[in-house]
Amino acid sequence: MAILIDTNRLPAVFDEVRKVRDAIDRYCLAPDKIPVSLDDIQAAIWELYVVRVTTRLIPLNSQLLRGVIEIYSNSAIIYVDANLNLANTRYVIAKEICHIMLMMAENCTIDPVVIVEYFVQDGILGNSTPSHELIVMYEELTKFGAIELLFPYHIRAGSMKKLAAGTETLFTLSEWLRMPENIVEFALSDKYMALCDKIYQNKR
Amino acid sequence: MTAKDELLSTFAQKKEHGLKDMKFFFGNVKESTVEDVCAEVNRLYAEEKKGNVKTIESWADSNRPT
Repeated sequence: MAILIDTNRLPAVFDEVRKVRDAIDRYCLAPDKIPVSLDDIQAAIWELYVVRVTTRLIPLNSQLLRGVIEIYSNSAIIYVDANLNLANTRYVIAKEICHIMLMMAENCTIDPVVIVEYFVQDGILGNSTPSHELIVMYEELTKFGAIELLFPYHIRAGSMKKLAAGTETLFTLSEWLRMPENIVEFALSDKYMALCDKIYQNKR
Repeated sequence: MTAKDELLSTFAQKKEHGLKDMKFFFGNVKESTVEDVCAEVNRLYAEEKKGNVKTIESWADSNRPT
């Protein structure tokens, strides 16, 4: 069973991303610079949410676990498998940072084992309650948030044109963005772009 | 103690120290067991305890003026 995403929650996710992107652009010498700076995202998180982010690289070489975030009142620790490449590391960090941006009492983990069970046992929430479903849904929503942080919507149309014209490939775009190639492909997919078009047009 | 119990114990200890939320970014866990995945999270914390950790304060990629 796939996780069902309530797309009605995406505009709120994109609003938070926009706040962070605005904060990044406010102080940067070169707004919209690609690749998006992790330091600048972290500085924006401090300014907007008063949470200081530290990353700890742990050599796991794991197929099962890429990262963990622990969020405290004014700090967060993001653990990342040190064996990941830079593109995947950046994506893990951006996704985990989205948990800070989107954190509310209702989506905080109550029982970590229930979350593990959900992802391992194909969508079954053993102790299913509305809050567990919300927690799991935010795991997915943060993936969209990470895409919007690292590959902003307003530059994606240009990338799609270059891809169509053959002047860029998914590989060269992923190198430029320092994002995983499969995530770049998803970000530029007709399905995802149509969803984003709808959300961003409604915001105008 | 099972890996599940160990993870729950770690979580409870961290809650006592002010943890507000904990989230995971899993890899391909569909062909694994809950015990294996919990054990992997426990391994991460065990590696940290052993000192096998590199803390990154900055990625040195800022575009802000210095």
